[in-house]
Amino acid sequence: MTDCPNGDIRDLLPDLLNGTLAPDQRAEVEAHLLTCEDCQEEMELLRGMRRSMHRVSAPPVADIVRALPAYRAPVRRVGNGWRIAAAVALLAGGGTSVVIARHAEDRGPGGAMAVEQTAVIAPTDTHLTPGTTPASGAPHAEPVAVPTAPRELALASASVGDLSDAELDALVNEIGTLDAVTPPDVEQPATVSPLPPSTTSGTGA
Amino acid sequence: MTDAATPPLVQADDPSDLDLIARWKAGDQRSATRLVERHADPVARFVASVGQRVDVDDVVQETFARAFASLDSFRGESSLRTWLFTIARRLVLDRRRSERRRGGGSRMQAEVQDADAVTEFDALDAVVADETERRMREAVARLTPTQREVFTLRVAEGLSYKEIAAAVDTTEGAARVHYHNAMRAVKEFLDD
Repeated sequence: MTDCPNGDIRDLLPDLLNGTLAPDQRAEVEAHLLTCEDCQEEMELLRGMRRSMHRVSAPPVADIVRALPAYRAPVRRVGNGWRIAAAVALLAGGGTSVVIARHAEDRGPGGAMAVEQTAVIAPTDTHLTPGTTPASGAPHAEPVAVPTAPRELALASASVGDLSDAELDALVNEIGTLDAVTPPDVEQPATVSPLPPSTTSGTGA
Repeated sequence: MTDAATPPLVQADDPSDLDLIARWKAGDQRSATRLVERHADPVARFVASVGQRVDVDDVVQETFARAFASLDSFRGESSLRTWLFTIARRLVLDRRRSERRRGGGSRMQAEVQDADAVTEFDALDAVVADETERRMREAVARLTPTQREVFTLRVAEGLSYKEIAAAVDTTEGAARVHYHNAMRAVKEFLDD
């Protein structure tokens, strides 16, 4: 039994056998079969193989159906997920701002000023804070500093990646002391006292 | 060519597999029956061809049970039948492995067991009266396990190389090579 040199046609013989060819391909393969004895032999072989492989006793459909599990729709916990994500974000954001604000205070007046200057934005009707006029003095776009608490400024402009190891340690310690949401009828926890400078600057991890 | 005109199992006006799955999820048990009726025979043929040492009905039943238990993960990216072949193949492989572990199977023993498939296949001869068919079955049984899987899916079920690649976890090119190597081996065996 020799092979037809036309590999493309040979490749399609099982598709012709199973009736899965598009009409134009089927016509092409059938036309080839009329003149190719090798493909006729292979087609006959495939037909016999398919017949023998199909000679398998039918499986017991009723038994299979009886053993099927009942459908159970998947349980979705979207609501809980959002609540958890919100709580984590609140903890991380609050803790970060506390530590960065302290870091700015530790640097003294210059440090605090540097943090405040990060809040310079486009001109608005907001009152201009003394001492924040830019040195360039451009007349057409005079920036206005928004009086904002250092903690909020730090949250808006800094990232956790900017913190030192000691600051990160302090942040992690403080996160454990914070409540994500404080019920209104529960007594507010005592204000966390600032850590002494030696605690935040002299202890590497 | 009567075989080429074999009608597809799913008629044009039949609901699709995805439709039947949706109906089953909505509580229609008859849809489950229709799905099993539609696909049980091809799955059984595949299992019989690739897993001669397993209880075919048992594997087919477990294939459907597992498939229906995880139908939510079926996205319709392949056909349901290809997905069923994938599950059935894994079950056959798992059973082979556990069988080998029980027998303290070394790699050599495993290869010997695969070669012994020919002998075990003789049990089916009672229902195969025709000598030519018996030889054909023997030729298929002598193929390597992967060649047998690919050859069966291509010849008996008419799957494309792409579908076969998905079912047996290989590439289209590799599936094509396995098919042609299998065909060559079958011809050589029948010519002897």
